[in-house]
Amino acid sequence: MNTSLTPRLNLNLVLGFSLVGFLALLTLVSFVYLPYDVNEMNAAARYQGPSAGHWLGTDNFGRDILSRVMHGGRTAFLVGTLAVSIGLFFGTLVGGTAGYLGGWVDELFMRLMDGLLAFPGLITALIVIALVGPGTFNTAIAIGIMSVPAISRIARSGFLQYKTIDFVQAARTIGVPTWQIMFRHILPNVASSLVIAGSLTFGGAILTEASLSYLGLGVQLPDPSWGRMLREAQGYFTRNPWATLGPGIAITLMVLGFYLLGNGTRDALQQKESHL
Amino acid sequence: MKGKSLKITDLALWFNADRPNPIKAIDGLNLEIPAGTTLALVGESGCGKTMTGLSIIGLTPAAGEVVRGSITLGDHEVTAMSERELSKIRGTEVAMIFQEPMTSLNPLMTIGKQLTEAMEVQLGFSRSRANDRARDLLHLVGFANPRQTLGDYPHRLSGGMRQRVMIALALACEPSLLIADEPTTALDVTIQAQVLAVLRHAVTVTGISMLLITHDLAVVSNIADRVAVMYSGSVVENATTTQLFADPSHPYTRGLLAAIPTLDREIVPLRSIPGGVPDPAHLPVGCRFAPRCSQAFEPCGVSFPRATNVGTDHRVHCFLYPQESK
Amino acid sequence: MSNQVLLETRGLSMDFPVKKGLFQRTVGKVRAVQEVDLTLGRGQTLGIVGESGSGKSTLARTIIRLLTPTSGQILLDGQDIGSLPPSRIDLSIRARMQMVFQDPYSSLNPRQRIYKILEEPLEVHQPFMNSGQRRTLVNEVLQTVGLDPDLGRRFPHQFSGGQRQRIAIARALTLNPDILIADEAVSSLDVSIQAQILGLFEKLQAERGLSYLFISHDLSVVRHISTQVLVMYLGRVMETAPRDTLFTGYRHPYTQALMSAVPRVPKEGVTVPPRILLKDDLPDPANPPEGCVFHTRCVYAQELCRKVRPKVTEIGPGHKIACHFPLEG
Repeated sequence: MNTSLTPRLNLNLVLGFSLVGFLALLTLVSFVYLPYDVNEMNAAARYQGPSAGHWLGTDNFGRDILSRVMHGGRTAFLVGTLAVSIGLFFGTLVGGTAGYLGGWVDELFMRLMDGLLAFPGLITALIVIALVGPGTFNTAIAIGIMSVPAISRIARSGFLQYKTIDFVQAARTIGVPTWQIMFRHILPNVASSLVIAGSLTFGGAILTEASLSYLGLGVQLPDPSWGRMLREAQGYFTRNPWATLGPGIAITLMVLGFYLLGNGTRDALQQKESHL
Repeated sequence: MKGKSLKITDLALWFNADRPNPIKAIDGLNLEIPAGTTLALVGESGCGKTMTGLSIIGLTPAAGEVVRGSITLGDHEVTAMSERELSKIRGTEVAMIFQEPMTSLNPLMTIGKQLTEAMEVQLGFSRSRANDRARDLLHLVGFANPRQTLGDYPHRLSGGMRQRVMIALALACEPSLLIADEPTTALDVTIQAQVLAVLRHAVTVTGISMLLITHDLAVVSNIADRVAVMYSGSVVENATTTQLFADPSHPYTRGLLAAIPTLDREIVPLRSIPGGVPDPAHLPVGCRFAPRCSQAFEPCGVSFPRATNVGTDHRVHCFLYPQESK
Repeated sequence: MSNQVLLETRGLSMDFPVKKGLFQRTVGKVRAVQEVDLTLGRGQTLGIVGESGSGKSTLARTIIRLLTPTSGQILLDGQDIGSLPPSRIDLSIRARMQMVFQDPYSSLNPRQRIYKILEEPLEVHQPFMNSGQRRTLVNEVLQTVGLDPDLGRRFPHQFSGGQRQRIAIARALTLNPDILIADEAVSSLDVSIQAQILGLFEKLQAERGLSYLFISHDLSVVRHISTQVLVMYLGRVMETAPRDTLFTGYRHPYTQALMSAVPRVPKEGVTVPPRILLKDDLPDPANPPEGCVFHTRCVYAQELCRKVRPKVTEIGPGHKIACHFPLEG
């Protein structure tokens, strides 16, 4: 008998949604309005702390940090979305095929993924960048490839679980082609766990982008990136410690937001499924 | 060990009782088990039979609330007890076995340990005394070599053996009432026969009272003294087992019996009961079976029929029989 | 009804490898189905009974070619369909055999609307059929199983177990098959609903001349619906006979034990035969006993039974039995 009937407030989901939403809004506003031009230098106003004119202060060239953080959001969302798309696409393809077909295909694909996973993620990304060169798109591709193994494992376990379920067996007795069984019958049922994995990957992708850019290998000039802003701020930390605050907080909130969003979605789906 | 009587009067267990359209899992249930006898509570899924068992032992889900009625076990009023008091009578006064024996046994503890632990905690038995009793119990439930079984882990046992261990475990602390909720439903027919024989033997030997909850009318004939047929949260017919099968009186009971294929009857098309059970959040006014009943007439849609005696010790809630004034 | 043979298996066996260890080496096999011969006539119902572990479900899945048999033949109208891999089975063969599963909750995709579920077989088999024609057919089949066509817009979770089983039957019917394999199709339903679904099976057989392989652990249900019955134990056929012969004149000790274990609804004038309580449980199918597979639990077992496996022999019209010491007829 169904007994849990009171929907609980999902704090994770609400908080995650607010954080990501807030940053997304800042980024969207940057397309129509920025307090200052992101590359406008002002020799008279270098190394400033937070003030009414510059809410997050200014950097070593006197550029407004708030404007640069807002603009940097574009890079973060772009790299995150691209990387997660790549990760989800290839991860689902590899993991789904391995899980559903099993046998030697499964062995081959998953051993390949294990091999990829054996490298620390950042090293994988560094290798890819060494091969294709730095830049926003290349960074996104590198991070996307990096996230394929983890997502492929989630997809594999989902497909493995559903390939023996009766409605899939029924589709086989009808003669539904394999690819159609995989995409029409199984994928929609595995999608929710993939969406959660995607959300968690998003946070990780932004962190990696920041790290790569911090190392100077990620997003290149003149696009502002939170990671590179941190690196630059480090150079004059003693003269203006405030400059690390803006990009630092932005990265933290973004990663935290997506993490909460992922966990919150999982809780919400679990609750919904227990109602079915 | 001696059984105690159980009396349930006008019990109502609702979910979301404080909201519009509460889910009435049990509503207006009356039931009596004389000390030392076995009553079978029979009904289809969703009729509230499992919730009835859980209310007696005080284990209903948190969202459920007893909104009226009483459950009296011996001289305990169960509905008035606190969680502390309830946990004291669980095992020692009332014990329950469930359909799925695997989830009720701890996979990391030997059978012996699980049996003796309860006795040491609840009854204050010494280790050796508990061990002796555990051996006796396993013997009672049909284990040929109890000494060996005591040292086994649950995964070494088959489904039927586990269910017999569960019976031993339930009897360990000398309860006065055993609630068996679909104890053989998950088992194969030859194993079901073994377990039912064991259950019957154990109850007879110990003299305790039993509430056997099942969906299968055929199962009850060999084991129960009385049968209560439940539909949509209340009992519609209550009789001795012999009476019930000889003269089923409620249209629902008759419908159920006509719907069961048997090994003995001539093969004729089965008569099914049209439709399905009502939604417990929107119970029909009057007799709850009326919407599916081929004999329903005017009064059925007005009020719930009172119990009518249709034979010695045979009560039916149905307007087809003259309503006695209370 | 004619006695024309529609489906036949000869020496059908299905083994599953048991894998262990780091490299998933095959260390043994579970002999789920062993040398099964069966015959299903057109318009007939072959009931297959057995306890869990008897291999009856594997037999069904092998015949409908979800699995590839280890050995033996599956003859559909005399044509062997047992040798091709499942993905290479011709659609025209798939269309002739359909299956209804036990659990109506897992047999319908929770993310598809009923209409979509019923339309898919047509999309696969009749790619040139237009959507109007498909709609007409789906609506017809919904009506056949006693559901309002308007319900096609709903999702499976909006239906009760009995209604879902009707939908599963409708899906099996869309391709207008000759054979319906029902694998414990009424076992999870409440008795009043079970009777409704059994009635539906009977109606469909009368109207369409369908043939059923009706698999169940419930002897009473099998007795009710079958024309021929096959009793399985540990992957092997113990006894098979026409329905009335089997239930009144069974000769195999296992059939007797199974029969006596069934709980009875008391009925005047009927004396229930004494119970034969089988000791122990089913042996491990990965390690079946030597000789007769039933000898470890058989009350009549003798030395010969432990050593030599009895052959399936015909002892009457359509009545075959695998036992060295059959009960008195």
